[in-house]
Amino acid sequence: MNNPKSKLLKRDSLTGFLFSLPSIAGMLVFFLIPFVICIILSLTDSISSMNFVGIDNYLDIISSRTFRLAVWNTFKFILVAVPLIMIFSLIIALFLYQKLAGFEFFRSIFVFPLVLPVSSVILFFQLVFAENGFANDFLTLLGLPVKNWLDSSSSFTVLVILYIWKNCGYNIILFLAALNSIPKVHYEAVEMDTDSKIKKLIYITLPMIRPYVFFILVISVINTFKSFKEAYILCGNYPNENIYMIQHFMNNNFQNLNYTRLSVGAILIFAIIFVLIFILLKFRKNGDAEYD
Amino acid sequence: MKKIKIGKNKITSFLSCLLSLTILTCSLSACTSSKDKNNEIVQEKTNKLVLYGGPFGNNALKAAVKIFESKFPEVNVEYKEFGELGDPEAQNNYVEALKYDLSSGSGPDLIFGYDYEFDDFYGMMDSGTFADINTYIENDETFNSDLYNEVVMNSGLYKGKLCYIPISYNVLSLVSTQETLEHAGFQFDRNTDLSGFSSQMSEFISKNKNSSDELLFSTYQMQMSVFSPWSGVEAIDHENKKILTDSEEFKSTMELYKTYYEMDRRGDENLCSNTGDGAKLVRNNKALFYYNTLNVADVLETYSALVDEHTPVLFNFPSANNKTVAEPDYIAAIRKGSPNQANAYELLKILLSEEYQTKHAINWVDNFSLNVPILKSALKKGIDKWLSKQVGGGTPDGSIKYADLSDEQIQLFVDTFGDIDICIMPNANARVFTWEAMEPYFKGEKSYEDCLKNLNNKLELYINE
Repeated sequence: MNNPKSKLLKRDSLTGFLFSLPSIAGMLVFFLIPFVICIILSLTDSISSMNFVGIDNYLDIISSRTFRLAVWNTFKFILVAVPLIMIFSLIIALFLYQKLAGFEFFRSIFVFPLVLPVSSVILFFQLVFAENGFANDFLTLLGLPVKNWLDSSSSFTVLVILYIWKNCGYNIILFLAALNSIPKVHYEAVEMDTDSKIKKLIYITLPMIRPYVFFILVISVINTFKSFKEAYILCGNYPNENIYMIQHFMNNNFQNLNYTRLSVGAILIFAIIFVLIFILLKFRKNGDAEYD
Repeated sequence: MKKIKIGKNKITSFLSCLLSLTILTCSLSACTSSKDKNNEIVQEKTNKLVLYGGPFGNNALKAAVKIFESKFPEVNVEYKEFGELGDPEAQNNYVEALKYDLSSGSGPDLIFGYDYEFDDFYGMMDSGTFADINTYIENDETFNSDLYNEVVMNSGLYKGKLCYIPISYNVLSLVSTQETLEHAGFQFDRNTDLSGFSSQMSEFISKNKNSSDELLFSTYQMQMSVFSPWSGVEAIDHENKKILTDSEEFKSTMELYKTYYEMDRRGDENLCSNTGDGAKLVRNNKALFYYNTLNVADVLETYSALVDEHTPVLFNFPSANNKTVAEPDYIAAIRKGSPNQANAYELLKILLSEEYQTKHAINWVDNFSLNVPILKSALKKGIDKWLSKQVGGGTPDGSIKYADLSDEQIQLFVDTFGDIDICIMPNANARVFTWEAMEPYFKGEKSYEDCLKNLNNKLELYINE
């Protein structure tokens, strides 16, 4: 009962709890409580009356063509942009890893877009992709018909280019960190048998950076959601239907004070992403087990 | 260890089943219970009333609050002002405060202002922001709906609820003279439809293409946002989630505006910056029509200035569906979550009262006027009052004199502004989309079909959001 060890343990637990209290409070105030409120709101008819309507809101939103389009566009963007940025940034990281002449300069060049203000980036893209922009001038020079880059199916391509251009620098840094973490001894051991760079890449480099790839994949997926900022400034709150994303749907409902619809959209997206990450984690666990 | 594991699994399974059952029960209970979403009740009176005075509606609301306070001195009125008219910051602050307070479940008990002050009024109606005013009207034996313009009154009906009531409304009218129309060879009377007006307008503009001496409209260039709604054509039916752009009426309205747009390019020049300018231009055959949507008094002024030496004529702007179109001006709505709805309803009744409507109809009193009052009897009284104050007067240089109107001419005004077939609350987003999408067509840069496809894509996104 009066065990000094248990007293110490209790005191340690209390100290630990008190130190983590601000984080717990922050988690509660900024995440858990709003999340619960969001769930409650999604089951009511409006914020004014709060009449319980069950899953009516969910059925309504799932049957909304606009919501389904937004979900499809968001996932299409993730499926196209994320693999592209992963491959592109890995290739550049592999080149930079060779530490050729001027590699520090090029490393800075690739990181530069990350620090540019969004409005400047958008201004540049508007100059390039506007109807009388550089891209169309170039097409005219080649004798090709001009395109409406920002208000047609091409707007999806523009957004992917913008996303890759803005975020590949971050991924390059992460991949470089991953490459630098590979012990040189593995390459030295392989060099005894072969000089082939391709074989080194396939049998050493890629397997060794696998744990980092999952992390970079998750970061890249999160960054795709942040690309709404650029889409919004570039094309407004009702852009071409090819780049109308979940965030547009939620932002517009927020502007119209339609918080029930906004909450339902948020819960559905949370559920979809939860399942997606769960599947990815499962793959990762199985993959790590195989590797072990 | 195995026993503990089995125990844990059983508990997890049990909790999962319980949670699923709870959710299922709740969902089913919502589905099977009688879906009376409009189960609003008449609240008891409280001793508080919260109001926001936006820059546009401030004076009009204050005038009503003065009457309210004298009738209900026991009610504490909390009035929040947002600045003066003309201050863009004030308007911004008002709209932002309204948006965020309403979204958090608070805000004014009675929402009052001009229809175009709100970003997306249809979105607000969809989100259940407004109470059903019919709940109070149906339980109020003292309220006589027959005194009010029924079409305008019912414009606030949305999904079976009366979400708002316009306190006043606008009608686009055109003033000219028989002599001016004959001089221009323009055949126009009250039975002229939009296609007749359109073909004559095109002819007139073609004839005067290279001259700025004879213009179609005396006031500044007519924006599409003015032109389109008065044609009686909207791009969407928000309530039924339908896009209406595939109609012939929509197409003919766009074609008409394109003709006007191509030919009458005067930029923002306002030729009628002073009193009587409109009348002078029409009288001297410099312009065919004078129009004004915002001020019936100006229309009266122009008409009255033409009476002495000419035969003035007054028409409603022809519409695509041959209906007389009105647009709400000041509107009032009761906030659904308000605990002071009964007091808000009393204030609404004051805004609709004979005393308030007659005093402010057409004439500038207490720093505002009701353009066309919703109270039927107030329109003629407002016209009579205007005439009693203005007849015999005119511009300081004597070039314009306001003459009295005959009973027939007064009745013409009452019919032109009072006989309404439809009253449409503008959908601000739909209008912006229409303008942005159709502008290349008006400028001749793209075909109608291409622009329409673009417009329909945006409207589809908006209406199904």
